[in-house]
Amino acid sequence: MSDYKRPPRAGVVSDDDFDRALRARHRDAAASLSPRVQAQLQQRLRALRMPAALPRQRHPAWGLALACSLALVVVVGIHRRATGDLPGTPVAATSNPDANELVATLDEAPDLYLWLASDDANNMLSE
Amino acid sequence: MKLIPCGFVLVVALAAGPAFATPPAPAPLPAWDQLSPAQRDLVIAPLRDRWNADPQVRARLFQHAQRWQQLTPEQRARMRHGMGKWEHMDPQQRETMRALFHKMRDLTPGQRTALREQWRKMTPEQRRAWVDGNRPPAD
Repeated sequence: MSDYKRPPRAGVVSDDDFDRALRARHRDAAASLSPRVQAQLQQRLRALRMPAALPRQRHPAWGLALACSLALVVVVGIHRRATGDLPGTPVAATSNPDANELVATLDEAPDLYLWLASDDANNMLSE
Repeated sequence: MKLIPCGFVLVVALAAGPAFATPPAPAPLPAWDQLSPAQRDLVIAPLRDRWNADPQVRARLFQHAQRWQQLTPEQRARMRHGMGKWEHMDPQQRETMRALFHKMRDLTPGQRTALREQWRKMTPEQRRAWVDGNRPPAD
């Protein structure tokens, strides 16, 4: 039933023997407890571990907050880049496409533009 | 304590809010005749700059404006289509198309067909030489 053996003399027992002896006594004691007491002990043990687990539960919440914030920053960055609304982006004062088109309309012969829209010009350009 | 992360996210979301706000659509502008003199000046400013910057181009701009006025609405629409192509051409392509256009304009239908055939058979080097030898005179 138990491998515990009383040491022959005090002071001669090695650490391993002492450790083995204590574990054997614990095993004997635990085996002699009723199932009800064992259940109560496990319940109390679980209750004792709960406070230690609580601080760990806060980390996922902060991690979620950080992840959401980063996601928002990325989305805002993409949005601003897409709309050309990045801070510090210089506004091209002279690259107004409508203004360029107005000048371009009269810069070349209207008939040149008409010809460019023809199949004839298309073929010669692509060949 | 659980409220702190939620609040943090809310603050960040509110700070980012203006980036998603759609700017109000500008009021539609009226027809040219209803524009104020200041608005008209603003619109034609680029053309005025071009006109004033180089006296040599004034006759050409004027001539092109006169020709534009003769075009039908359909022709003006086709012209805009051609302008779109022009905008996407590199300088060498523009030079080539300008030379071809001016040459073709002075040819008879039969001569145009012959030039098309000739062009089709040319190597890139031969085409380059042809463009060099057929530069249109300045307007």
